[in-house]
Amino acid sequence: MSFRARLFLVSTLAVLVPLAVLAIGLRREMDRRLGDEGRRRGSAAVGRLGVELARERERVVARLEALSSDLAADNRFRLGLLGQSASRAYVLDWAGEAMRLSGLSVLQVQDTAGRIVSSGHFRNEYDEVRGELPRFLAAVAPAPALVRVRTAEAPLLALAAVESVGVAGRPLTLVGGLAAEERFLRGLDPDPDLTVALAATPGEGAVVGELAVPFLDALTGTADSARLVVTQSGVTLAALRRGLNTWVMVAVGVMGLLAIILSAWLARVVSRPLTELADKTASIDLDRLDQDFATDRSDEIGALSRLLGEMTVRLRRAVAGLREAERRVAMGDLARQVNHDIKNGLVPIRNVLRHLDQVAREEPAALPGVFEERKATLESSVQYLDTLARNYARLAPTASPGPCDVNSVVAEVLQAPRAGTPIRAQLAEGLPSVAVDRLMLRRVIENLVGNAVDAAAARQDATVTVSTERARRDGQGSVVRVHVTDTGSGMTKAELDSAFDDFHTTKEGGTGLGLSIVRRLVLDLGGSFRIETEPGTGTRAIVEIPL
Amino acid sequence: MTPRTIRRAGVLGAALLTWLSAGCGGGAPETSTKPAPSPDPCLLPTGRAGAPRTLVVAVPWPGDTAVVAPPQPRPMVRLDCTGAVRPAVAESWTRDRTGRAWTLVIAGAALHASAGGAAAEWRTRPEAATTLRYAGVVSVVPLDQRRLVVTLDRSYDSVPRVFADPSLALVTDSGAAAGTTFALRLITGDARDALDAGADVLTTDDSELLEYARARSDLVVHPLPWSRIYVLAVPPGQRGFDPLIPADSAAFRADLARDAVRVEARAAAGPFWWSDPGRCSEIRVRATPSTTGSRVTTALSSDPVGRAIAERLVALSGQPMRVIDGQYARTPVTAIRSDLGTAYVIPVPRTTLVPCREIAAWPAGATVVPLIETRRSVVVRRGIPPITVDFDGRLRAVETR
Repeated sequence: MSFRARLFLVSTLAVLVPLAVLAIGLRREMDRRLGDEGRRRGSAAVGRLGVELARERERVVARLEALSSDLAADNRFRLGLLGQSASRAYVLDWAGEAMRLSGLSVLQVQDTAGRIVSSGHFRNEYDEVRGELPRFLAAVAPAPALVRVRTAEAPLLALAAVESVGVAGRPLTLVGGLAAEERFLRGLDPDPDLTVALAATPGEGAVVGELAVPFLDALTGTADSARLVVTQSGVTLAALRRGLNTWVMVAVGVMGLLAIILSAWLARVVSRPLTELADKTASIDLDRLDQDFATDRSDEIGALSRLLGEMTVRLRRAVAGLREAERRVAMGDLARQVNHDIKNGLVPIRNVLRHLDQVAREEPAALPGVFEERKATLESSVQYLDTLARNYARLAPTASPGPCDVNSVVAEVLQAPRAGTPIRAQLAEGLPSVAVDRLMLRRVIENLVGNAVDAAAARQDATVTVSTERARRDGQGSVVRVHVTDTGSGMTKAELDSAFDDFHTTKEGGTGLGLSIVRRLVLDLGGSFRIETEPGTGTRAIVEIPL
Repeated sequence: MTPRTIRRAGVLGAALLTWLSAGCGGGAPETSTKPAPSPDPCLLPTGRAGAPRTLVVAVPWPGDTAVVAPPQPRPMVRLDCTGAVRPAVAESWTRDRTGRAWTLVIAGAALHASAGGAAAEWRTRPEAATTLRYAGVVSVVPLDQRRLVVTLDRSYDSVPRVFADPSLALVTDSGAAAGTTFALRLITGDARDALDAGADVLTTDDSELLEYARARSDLVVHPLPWSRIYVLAVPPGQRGFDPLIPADSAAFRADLARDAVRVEARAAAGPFWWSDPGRCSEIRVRATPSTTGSRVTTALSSDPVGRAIAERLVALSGQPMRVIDGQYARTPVTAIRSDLGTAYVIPVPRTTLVPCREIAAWPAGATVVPLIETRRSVVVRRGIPPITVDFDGRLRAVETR
C-alpha cells in the first residue's frame, strides 16, 4: 500500500471513528436517560392508577346505590319477584334496561342463595346460581376489584362492586361494573406514552410499573389477583432513535465525504513533494549530479530537499575531485599512450632517418632517390603524429580562464559556415560575463550545436535554437544558462544514459567523445550540464555557468 | 333415458290415462270441487273498509317480501291463514276417482294465462320443475285452453297444496292490478315513527311497539298465524345438547318460550313437516362432513329470537356461543353446511307446501329439535281497504273485481 493510500485511509478513519463513537455514546446515553424517565413516570402512573381505580369503583357504587333505590320502589319488579307471571319478563329484562340507562357494562341481581334474578350483560342466565361473585366483591370491598363474568359470546372483564337492597322483604344483591377493556384501562392514566393493560396482554413497550388488583374469574370461580402493568410506549424512543440515527447517518455521510475529499487532497499535497524528491533522487548518479533541489518550502520537506541539494553539491565536488583523480590517472595512462603512440609514430621516422643516414654514408649519390622513396613514409608518420596531437589536444585542453561574453561566443559559433538545418539564436540582452576559458566554452557550444544540427537533420521540419539567459539557482547564486534545443529525433533513456560514455557514438564517423568532452569541459568550467530529451520530440542541452 | 325423455313418456302416459278416464267413460266419475263463497276468516278487522288505494307498508329492509304477497305472479290456488284452499289463477278444480289426476280450470279473468302456457312454463322454469319433481308430479297435460291435468304419484283427497307454491305462480295480467296496492317504505329509525308518519301496515313482534299501537285508537293490532319454528339443528355426529333437552321437553320448551324470548312464543308442537322423511326416501340428499371441532352454539345475527334461545342454551350448558354473520345469516341451511359449530338455533317455516324439497336441502342425518314457535302481529290503520292473510302470514289485498 502506498504512502498516499495509507495517509488517505488514516485520515478518513481519524474522522469517521470518533464520529461513530460519538453516535453510539449518544444513543446509549439517550436510552439510559429515557429509561430512567420512563421508570419514574411509571411509578407515578401506578400511584395514579390506584387512585383512578378507586375513583371508578366509587362511580360504580354510586350508580348501584341509585339503582338500588329505584329497584326498591319498583312495584312491577316487586310483583314479578312475588311470582306474578305477567311481570316475570319485566324482572328478567330489568337488569338489561337498568344497565343501559346507568351506563354500566355489567349488572346482575341475585337473591341470597346466589340465584340470578336478572342479568343485564347476559339476560338469559337467569335462575343460574353464581353466588361467589357478590361474596368476593363484598370480601374485598372497599378495594377496587376486577371480575371476569360470562356473557353469551365471550367473557367480559369488569371493574365491579356490590350493593345490597331489600325488595318485598327479600334481600337482594346488585353486582355492577364497568368493562375494563383496553380503552377503559388506557383512560385511567392520561399520560399518552404509557399504556395500562392486564399482565396477560401487556402492551408493546417496556414495563415501567405494576399494580396488583383483587380478581375473580367467575367462569371458574377462581379468586386471585390481577396484575395491571404499565408499559411505556416505544414510539417516542423509537422516534428519537430514528431521528438520531438519521442525523448521525447524515453527519457521518457528510463528514465521510469531506474526510475523503480532504484526505485525498492532504495525501496528494503531502506526498507530491516527496514523490518529486524521490524522482529527482532516483535520477542522481555520478555522471548526473546536476539535479535541482532548490525549494522555497520552510517545512521538513523543504529541509530534506535542501539537504539533498547540499548533498548533491558535495557529491558534485567529490565527483570533481574524483574526476580530477581520474584525469590524473588518465593523464598517466594518456602519457603512456602518448608515449606509445609517439613511439609508434617516431619509429618509422627513426627508421627512415637511420636508413637515410646509412645511405648518406654508404651511397651518398643514392640519397636523393632514397629520400624521395622514403619521403612518403616520413610524411605519413608526421601526419599521424599531427593527427594524434590534435586528438589528444581535444581530450586535454589547457584552461585559460578570463572574462568571457557568452553571447559573443555563441555568435562566433553560429557565424561559422554550416550546412543543414538553420540555427536560430535567442540571446538575452545584458548578459554578464563569466570567468571561463573562452576556447573551452566555444568547444562546448560547438559540440552541442553540432550534435543538435546532426539530430535535426533526421527531420525536414526540425529546428535548432540556441538561447541564453541569466538564472538563479538556490544556494548557488546566479548562473548564465545556455540552451541548445533541437526538435529532432530525441533520445530514449537508454540512449541518454550511454550518451556520456567515452567513445560512444551513434553517428557514422563520430569519435564518441563529444558529450563526454562537453561534460568534462563544463565541469572544468565549474558549471553544470544536463540534457532533457524525449524520443520524437527533440533534445534540450542545458549548460549553466556560475557567475 | 334422459330426464326429458322420462318426462315426455310420463306426459304421454298421463294424457292417455286422462283421455281414457275422461273420454271413454271407463273410470269413476270425477269429483268436482267448487269453492263455496264464504266469509273470509282471514280478513283483518280494520273497521269500516275504505276504498281501494295504495297502502304504505313499513318494512325493516328494502325489498322485504315477507310482509305482503306480491300481486304478480299469482299462485294457481291460494291458502288462507287457516290453511283452506281458495281460488286464484285456477277458479275451480276436479279430481279423478283415484285422487291422483287433478284438473285445474284456469279462471276466465286470468288474462295472459292458459293451460298450455302454464304447462310449458312449469316444464321450462327450473324452480317450477324442481317443485313438481319433489311434489311427486308425474305429468302436466293441458286439455284445452283452460283445463290443465296434473297427475301425481300418490292420491290426494283434497287439492294438493303444492299448487299454492310461489314457484308455480303465473303472471296473469300485463298491467297493474286494479284495486288496492302496496308501497313499501323503509323503516329508518324507531318503528313508532313510521306509524306516526302515516304507515298503513306494519308487521312486528316487538312487544313495546305493539303496546304502543294498542294504545292508539287509529290503529288495530292483529296476530298473524304462527309462522316460525325455532329448532336446534345438530349436524350428524354432534350430541352436545342431548342431556340438556330431554325427550319429554314440553316443560323446557314452555319455559323457553315464556322467559327466554321477548316475542309472542309458545312451545313447538307437532306434527312437523320434517317428521315424515320417508316419503322423500327416493330423494338423494347430500351428506355433510362430521364436525369435530369446538363445541359452539350458533345463532343468526339478524334474528334476536334465535340469539336469545341460543343464549339460554349457552347459559344452561356452559358452552360458548358464536353468532353467524354475513351471508349465512340469511340462509340457515347453508350456515349448517358451513360446519361452523356443533348446534345451530335457526328458524324454519312452520308450514311448507313441498316438504321434500325443503328436506332435500338439509344435511343427511342432521338432528332437528323443535323448540318454540313464534308469530308476529300486524298493525293496520283503521279504515283501510280490506286485507286478508295468507297461510304464511303475508298480507294480500282483497281483489275487488
